[in-house]
Amino acid sequence: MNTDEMNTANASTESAPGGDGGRGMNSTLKAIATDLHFWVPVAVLIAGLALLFLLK
Amino acid sequence: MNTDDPAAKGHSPRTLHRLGVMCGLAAGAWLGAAEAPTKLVTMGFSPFIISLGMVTGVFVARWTVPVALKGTGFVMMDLREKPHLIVWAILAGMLWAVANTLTVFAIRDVGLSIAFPLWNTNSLVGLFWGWLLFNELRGSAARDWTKVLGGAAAIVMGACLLAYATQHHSGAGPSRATHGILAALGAGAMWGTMYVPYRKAYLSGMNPLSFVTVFTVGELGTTIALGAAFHGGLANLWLELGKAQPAMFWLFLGGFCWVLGDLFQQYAAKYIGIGRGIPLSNTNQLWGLAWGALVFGELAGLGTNARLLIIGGSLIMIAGAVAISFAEAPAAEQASWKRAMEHECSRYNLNSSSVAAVLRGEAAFGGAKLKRHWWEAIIVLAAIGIFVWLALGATHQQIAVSLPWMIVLGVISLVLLVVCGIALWHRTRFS
Repeated sequence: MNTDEMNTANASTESAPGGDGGRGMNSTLKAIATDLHFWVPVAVLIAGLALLFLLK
Repeated sequence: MNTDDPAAKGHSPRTLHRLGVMCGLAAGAWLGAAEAPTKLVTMGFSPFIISLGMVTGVFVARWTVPVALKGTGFVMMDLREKPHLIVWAILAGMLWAVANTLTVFAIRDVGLSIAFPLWNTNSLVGLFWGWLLFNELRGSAARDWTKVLGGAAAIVMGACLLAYATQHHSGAGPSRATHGILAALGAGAMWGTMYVPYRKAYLSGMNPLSFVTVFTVGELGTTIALGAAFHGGLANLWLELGKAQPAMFWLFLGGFCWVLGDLFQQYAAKYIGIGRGIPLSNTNQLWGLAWGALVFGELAGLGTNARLLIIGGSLIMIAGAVAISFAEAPAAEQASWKRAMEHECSRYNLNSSSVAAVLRGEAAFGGAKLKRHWWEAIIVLAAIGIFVWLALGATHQQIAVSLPWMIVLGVISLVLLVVCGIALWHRTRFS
């Protein structure tokens, strides 16, 4: 299963974040939190900050 | 004639590919030109202060250019329609700021000649994420893979040669050298990963001008936080910044050029993807070299070998850019991009037909004319006022420049700005 399929599988198990007018904050946050794409830059950011303070 | 046919509206994949390539090349020119004003800062300030000064200029420009081009109503509507991307834009800004600080350590420990090629691998990192996360290059023939991968590798190789030929080795000890290499590789990984939010935003139909308006909040906030952490608190940082005021105009000017280059880079990422757009904009080193060599005479003392290396590195870099320019995404890859777009629409409940229209370069919100507000003029005037105020207090820098070459390079950059700006407006209305 590639990342696209994993994300689609995650997306299909949750409620949609909502349309233009009725998007709930919670469902938007849930969609972000279960988005694999989100955790890639977050993990790299944490690693980068750790490296920065290690080299300081 | 079918008016829904994108090709009939001048938005065929080929014209958008050409537009993306033009934007990538213009990005390289303006990101390279951004180095010129900072070369005028010769007063020996800390790299953090120089970075913070430039990022503050970037912040001012990033809030002004989108307001001038699209208006606050458009930007706010774009953000309201895709609020999840606010988090992504701030995240991208934070990644940029941490990577930029890592480059300070890398240059300190191993020198620019080793550090620059290492962090210039960001285009290869971006290419990898584009393939893995956003289906870029999937469905492409081996010929297209060769052009894109070979072109990106050639640009990195050209960068290595240019950096090697133009800089001296630092002579750092093994321990500091390891630290410097780690810092440079970390910066490359972070800048390469920063393009994940870029591509995410554009596959969701966000306008690059809206994205950068939020991006800069994460960028400036993190730069201030890191500057304070490394300068013993905010009060000390503010004090140091005050001392740098005579040089601030040049940093702001560099920041402004950088914003123009970055905007072209954003449009390149939107229309040809990060795998193709980022290597093209990484040709900025060539332009930085041209400004350094022709305007500031930095290479005057170089020997024949170094000059040959520079010519060779430049030619390799140009060949890489040409290869990518001719690597238009075939129909099968376009279909893969479409699947990635539909995935975003499904996850975040976006209207896939309107997102697809925006990705074709059509106007957002069905081309609705949004009202412009009086405060937009005040924002633009305030930004101009800041630049004029800083210019009045700017100190004349004692550095020799070649005026004829400055005019030549300045005119070339302006021509690229105008030609690409008109092309973007004509085809996409800065969509």
